[in-house]
Amino acid sequence: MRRRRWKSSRAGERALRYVPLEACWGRLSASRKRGEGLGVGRVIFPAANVPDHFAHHIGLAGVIQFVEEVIVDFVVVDPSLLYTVGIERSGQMSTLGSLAGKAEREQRLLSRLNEAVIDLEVAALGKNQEFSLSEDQLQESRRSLSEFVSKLQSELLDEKATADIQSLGFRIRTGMKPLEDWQEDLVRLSQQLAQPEPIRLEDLPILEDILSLLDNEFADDLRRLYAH
Amino acid sequence: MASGLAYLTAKAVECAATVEWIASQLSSIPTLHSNHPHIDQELDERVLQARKRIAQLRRIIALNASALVPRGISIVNELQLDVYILSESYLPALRKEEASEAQFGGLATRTAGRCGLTDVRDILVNLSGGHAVLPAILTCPLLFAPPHQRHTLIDLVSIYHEFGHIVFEARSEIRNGLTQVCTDFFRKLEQGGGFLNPDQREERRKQINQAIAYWTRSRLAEIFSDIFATYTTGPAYFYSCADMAIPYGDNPYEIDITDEHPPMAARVSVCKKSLLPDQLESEVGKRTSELWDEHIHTKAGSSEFRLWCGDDLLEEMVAESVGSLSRVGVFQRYAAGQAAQVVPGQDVNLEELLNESTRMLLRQPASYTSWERPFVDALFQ
Repeated sequence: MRRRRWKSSRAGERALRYVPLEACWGRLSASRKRGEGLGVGRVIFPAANVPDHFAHHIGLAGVIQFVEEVIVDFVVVDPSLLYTVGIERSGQMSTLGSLAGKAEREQRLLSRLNEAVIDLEVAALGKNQEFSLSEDQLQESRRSLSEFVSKLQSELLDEKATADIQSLGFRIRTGMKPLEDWQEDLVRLSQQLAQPEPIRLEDLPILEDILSLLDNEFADDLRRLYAH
Repeated sequence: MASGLAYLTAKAVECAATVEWIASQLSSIPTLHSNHPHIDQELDERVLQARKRIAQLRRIIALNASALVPRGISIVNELQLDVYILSESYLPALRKEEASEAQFGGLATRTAGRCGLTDVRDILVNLSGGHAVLPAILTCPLLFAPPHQRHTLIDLVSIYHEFGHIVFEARSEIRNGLTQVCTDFFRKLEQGGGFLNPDQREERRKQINQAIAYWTRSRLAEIFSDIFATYTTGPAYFYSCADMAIPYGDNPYEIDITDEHPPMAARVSVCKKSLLPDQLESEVGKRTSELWDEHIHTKAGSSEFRLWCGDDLLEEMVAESVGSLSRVGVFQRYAAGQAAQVVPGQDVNLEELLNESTRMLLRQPASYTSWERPFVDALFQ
């Protein structure tokens, strides 16, 4: 069985930033004393030896039984004997960078596509004036959607890899619907978008299918980001 | 009104209240504009974008178009990301910013600029938790580091990995180049499988698709960030990366598909491959190689590891990343032999200092603490 170590979530770290000395129950002999009162070190506790009050301090109350070891890195930052405790070793890098970067790109893409779809619907309902939608804006929206469809077609043909829609391509390839059907639908969609007539979202079910896959990916990443 | 539209109406009210609260909180931070004018401007822009999204929600409601409800829900999620960035990330960091965090931010911003992240105007630092970056606002990213980082050089080199994330997000040619290398590599492998019957061919195709799927955007970002950190700091990051794995007894070849980070064996390998020959032959380069070889000598990679993270693939990833960084032309590669003269109190080249620091830690650990003290004081004075 893979050893489980507890890596804190950021929410957990907030709760444990300052842990009183007594919470470390005398295991600090393992520390290295460095400089003027500056102590830096690591203590690894078998989870079974972690007392309840410390589990509570580090946000593991109730789940400690699922953890085999708790790794505590600490540093004494002042003589008041408060220990700043980082459970996740500083070198164990966070996934925040890759996750937030990906979510940010997804948001930008969805924002552009959602706006374009709403514009098409405004135009199809003949409410351009009421919603101050100019012909130029409408053309720009059609262009955005066509450009996206074209990128997706390339991705599915393995012609040109685009990191930002790679996982959409993966979701399509691994879904129930055959890839060939998707490709045919995308050809039809790009033809529809190229026509000058007003077009309603109801007439573009394939577009909504694609957008819902993007929505799911974005929502998953958002959930992971909030849980980080 | 359909229930979906009624829900969107409620969410529009809720989101508007949240966004306006955030705007009021930001404007109540007295030092924001004077200390961080760029961050102030960028956060204002983000608030503006959030307001535009709320306007889009209201447009859907006014259109009374039920078919657009899923788009409205999608916009609600877009707003959730705005709230995460503004209210959960920047706002608390700005409110609690201490002098030490501002000093750290200044050092990080200068260092990023020297390494070639010239678009980065101001790095906001929150000294809490492990090293991490929020690269949502690329000109003013939010950097996290542990509180003790203010007191030691050890592990400070990790911030270059975080800079790598910023570069990865800022440069689509790097993201797409790495994705393409990965896809091409595995497709070539699929075609070159020799004579296979149809069942074997299908099995092969499945294995290759799994391998391509493993290298998600996030894992490519992580591997690129390791390459970038080694490119800019040389042996110091190579040691730091190996040091992340050595204390743990885990098999560094083990692939954990729930982890966005590739296995440590792959990460250390790309660091080693990113070193220049003289960096590999340097004291830290050699010592780290020895330590790592000793760490892995009883361990071996599975067939899965050999396919997904094979040496040839990692070699191509490094060549592509280093090639891209060189072609862009602004990123400074660490050059061994850049005089190791580091004078406390004078402006320091952090990459040089961190390499010197790693040398000292490995060569004279007993006197390391007293050695680093004046540098730490000089950096954060």
